[in-house]
Amino acid sequence: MRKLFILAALTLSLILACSPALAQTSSAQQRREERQEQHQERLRERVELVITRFDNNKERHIAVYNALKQRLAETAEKLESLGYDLTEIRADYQTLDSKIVKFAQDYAAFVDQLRAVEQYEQGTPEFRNAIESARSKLRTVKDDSLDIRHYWQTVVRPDLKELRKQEPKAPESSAPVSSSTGK
Amino acid sequence: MSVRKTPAAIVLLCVVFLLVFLMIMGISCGKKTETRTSGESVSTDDAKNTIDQAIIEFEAKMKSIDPSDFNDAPLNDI
Repeated sequence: MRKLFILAALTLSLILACSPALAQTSSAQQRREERQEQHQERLRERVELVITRFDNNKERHIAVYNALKQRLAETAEKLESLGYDLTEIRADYQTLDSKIVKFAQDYAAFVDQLRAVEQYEQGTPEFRNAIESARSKLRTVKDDSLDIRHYWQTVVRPDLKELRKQEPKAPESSAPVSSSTGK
Repeated sequence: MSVRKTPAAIVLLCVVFLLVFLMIMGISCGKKTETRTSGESVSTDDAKNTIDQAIIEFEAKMKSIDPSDFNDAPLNDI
């Protein structure tokens, strides 16, 4: 009975001695989790800030491309009514349209990839891989933008200038250049 | 004598004015249009102006954007 009493006392004193250490460990763990949560929140904010910045640029580019398409369609309609052959310009319009669609799709893929970064812990290999993948997708978007500019400079503009030399024929009633794309 | 000459001079003057008028009209129309075999005329100047105007507008629009807007430097901030 006495032995049992001594054992219970020893156990109780051991628990009392260890409880501050246990409490400290638990609190450290909690602080670590809180810090981790704050890191993730800051990461989310930074990602969203970068996306907003790129979104503004993307909107400006899309607005210019759409204005180009509209102006090209209007110009083509007017020239067609004056009897010009616009076969080349029609083809250019279609190609330009498909390039703009590709630009928008690649941009959406880049933003998706960037949002995927948020789910990884900063500094981990997964995080670095996700950032590299987003970087690669952004390069594709930039290449698309360069491609559209290059296409305008090397194809659409020369074709428009070539129209100046064309001898107009009798005006025909045909569909407007934009009718086939619907964009 | 002078009474008989007056109507002839007026007629001559009118003919000269008419010729000058037709010449001026002919020159101005010739500049702006070309006459086709079908007899239909098309304003080529108008078409060329349209093309030039479109090219100028396109150039200005293209200059307002830059592919470097998609440089990856902002990704370093993450």
